[in-house]
Amino acid sequence: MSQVEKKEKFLKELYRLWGMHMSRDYKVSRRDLMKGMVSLGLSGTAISMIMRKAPFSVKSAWAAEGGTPEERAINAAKALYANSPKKTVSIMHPSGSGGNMSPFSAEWKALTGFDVELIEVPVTQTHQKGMQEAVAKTGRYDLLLPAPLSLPDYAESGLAQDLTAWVDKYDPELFDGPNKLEYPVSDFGQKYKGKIYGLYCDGDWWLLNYRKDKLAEAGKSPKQKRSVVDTWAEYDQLAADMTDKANDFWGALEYRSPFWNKFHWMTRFQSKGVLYFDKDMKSMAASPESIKTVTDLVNIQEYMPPEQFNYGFTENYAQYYAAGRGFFEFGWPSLWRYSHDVAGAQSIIAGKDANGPTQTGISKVPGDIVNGELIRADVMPFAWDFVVNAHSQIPEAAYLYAQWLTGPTMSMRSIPNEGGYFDPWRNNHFLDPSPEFFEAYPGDFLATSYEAVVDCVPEIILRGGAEYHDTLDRNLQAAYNGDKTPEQAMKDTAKEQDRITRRLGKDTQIEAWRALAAMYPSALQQAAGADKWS
Amino acid sequence: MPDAKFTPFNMLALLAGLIFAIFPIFWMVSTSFKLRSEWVTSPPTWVSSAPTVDNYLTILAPQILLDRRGGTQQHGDEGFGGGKDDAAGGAIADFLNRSAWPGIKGSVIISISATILSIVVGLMAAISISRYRFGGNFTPFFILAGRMFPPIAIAIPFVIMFGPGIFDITDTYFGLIVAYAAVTVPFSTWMLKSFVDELPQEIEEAAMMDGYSRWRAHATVTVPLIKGGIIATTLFIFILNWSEFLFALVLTYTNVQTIPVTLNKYFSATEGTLYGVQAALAMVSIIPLIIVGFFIQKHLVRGLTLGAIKR
Repeated sequence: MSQVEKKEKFLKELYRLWGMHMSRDYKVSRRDLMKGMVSLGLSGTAISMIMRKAPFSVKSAWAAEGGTPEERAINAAKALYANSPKKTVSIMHPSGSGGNMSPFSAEWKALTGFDVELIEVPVTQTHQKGMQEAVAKTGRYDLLLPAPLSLPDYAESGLAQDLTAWVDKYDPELFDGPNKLEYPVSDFGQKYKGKIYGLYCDGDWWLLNYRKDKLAEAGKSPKQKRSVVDTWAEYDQLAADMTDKANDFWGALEYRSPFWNKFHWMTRFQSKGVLYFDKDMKSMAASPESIKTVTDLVNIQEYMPPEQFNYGFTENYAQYYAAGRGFFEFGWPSLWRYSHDVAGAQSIIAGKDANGPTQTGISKVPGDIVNGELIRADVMPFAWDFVVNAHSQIPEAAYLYAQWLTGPTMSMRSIPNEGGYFDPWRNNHFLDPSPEFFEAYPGDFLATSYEAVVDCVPEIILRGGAEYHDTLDRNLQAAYNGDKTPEQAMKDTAKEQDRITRRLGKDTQIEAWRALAAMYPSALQQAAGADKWS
Repeated sequence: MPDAKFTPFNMLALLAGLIFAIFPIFWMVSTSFKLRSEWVTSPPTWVSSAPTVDNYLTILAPQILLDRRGGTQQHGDEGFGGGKDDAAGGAIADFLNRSAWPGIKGSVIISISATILSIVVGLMAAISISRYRFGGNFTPFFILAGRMFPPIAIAIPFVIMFGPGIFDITDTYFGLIVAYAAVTVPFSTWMLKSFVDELPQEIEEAAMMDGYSRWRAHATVTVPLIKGGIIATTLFIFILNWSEFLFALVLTYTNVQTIPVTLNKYFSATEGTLYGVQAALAMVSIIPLIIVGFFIQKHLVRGLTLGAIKR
């Protein structure tokens, strides 16, 4: 058959099918119908598979117009603007965080037409204001800025919009490509029960700060390049060795005041290969590993100044670490940033030369040997997420603003600004920082933080998370103060946590917990047996 | 006990009580003038070694501090990363982009208006209950029932009622004035009722016998005679409104602010609590109360003791 004949045949068939469509008398046979359905299904599957394997740029272009998350967000927001029922994106944000957003509001308006309104609420009230909106459904906020700990309550109450479809459509480059977020942080602070409810604007996993000048003076050196000590036993020993009580110099500056104290337990306990709960959501707080953890935490208090029982993060840092009176301090990224704020004189240990910081060093958190393998469980307390209010009049435009500001380029610009909280979380922040970005986080911080991300573990990001935290907090404090033995404190914690689970509904909590456990680092999942739970 | 002597022991006990009562105020004044590095120290810094007014400037004139440090550092600034936070007191960066004046203005407008509304409504309710047994025996308890549960229990209904779906008065002065008045009316009613109860009804009846209407009799006889009680109640209600936090938090967004909510915002996840700035704002916020209390102290004492001696 010649090409011309082939073409004629094809056109005839096309006209037949078209006529079939147009003619009322024509009846489609069952066979034709089945064939059509199967063809359609196979074509859809093939296209989907091709697109999944397609190069990143092709996939992005297919999803929405624009080569970067920022461009896609701008183009889509521009398209939405004309028919938008509201022309301002209103953002509820915690006090003191405006500096990461306000300098860019005019730029967003110029690019898309949408205004930005920042509504500041006291940082301690962000969760409550969100839950208030869940009940009142006013739509006054389009975006909220809570910590990931709020995601379950926001999602279950219908406040948080499921972002999964928009993430697929506009591709903020969270899970693929050079700018993605590394697992497990990519998942546990943004997802709840498998759906995406938040976009990070801040990464907050702990690192261990230490005085490298004092370490050198003592004739010691870091265990590894990114790890001053590997295990908790080594950490305890070094803290003891470095303590010089006569000269008011303390080995460890751990937090021992209410609210702050639990984070130490979270990271130490889980590095023993045990998670907060077992498969059936029974609290593991009373496990031997937990009691051993609390005992160790009580014992190390000998090398800590007595004020630790009153100080929170900033007081602890300012009065001891920054004042040159302590050797180790666990902390958030801002601690490193402030430590090198030379002109700011917030720290007497500030100082850097061509090789980086001269007095402070940064390290991954210690871990424990479980089944012959070193397990670290680097807790990420806080962090902040953009959450879209499901009751907003302009949820999609709100999402697009969040995608724009948290995009690889924009976040690189906003994070180093003064007057905000945002710290690095994307891979390009660590691996390809701008000069300004590196200036804000000098030395080994970014490289160490990037190595640590794979060891990250969440807080108890479940519905009622604040209650689980609170019972842990109170009982740990009692143990630290000597009001309860570690055994009693942890037995009470387990009892209270199990009671909270029963009250909130064991089945739904188990479902959420297994989903959270599936977002732990794989080594920790295997050590805890959580990889076999589902 | 007319013969009781003021012994040295009494003096010591009184002194201890005085120190106990005055210490928080001393600490607040002292902290408001401290450098940032002295806010939380061990051992404590009782009085600043180099007093500063930066904490006051942060809340009242932050632009001065901002100009002094050359603005906040933003991406692209020359010399980025050098750090511009000075070692003196005061807040940094984001907290210097706004003052506490909107909060002060909001507190003044809302507290004064809500207090007047509460006293007017409460006074009329008190007289109608005390003199005319309005609503029978149950009404006073019904009014008080509004205070028999924690305010948080009615906060959300208020949010819904005041929201766009119904009255649409969230984030307005009017909305907060109504809310405050509604919450304080039980107090004003009960306090004023006790003063009206103590006043012999015969005095008002005599005025009515002289041809006064009920309204005029109460306005010209009852009210002047319980003036001390009204002033004491007014001050009490004003303090309640001035220090209220919960409703101001849940019923406002950006248009309306009050001092307690503003005070709470001087805290950030990374900077921690700005104790010096909070102390300065607390100092500013108690000044009106001290001034008012000073000028009405005569009436206050009379009002608080009114009815103490039974007929």
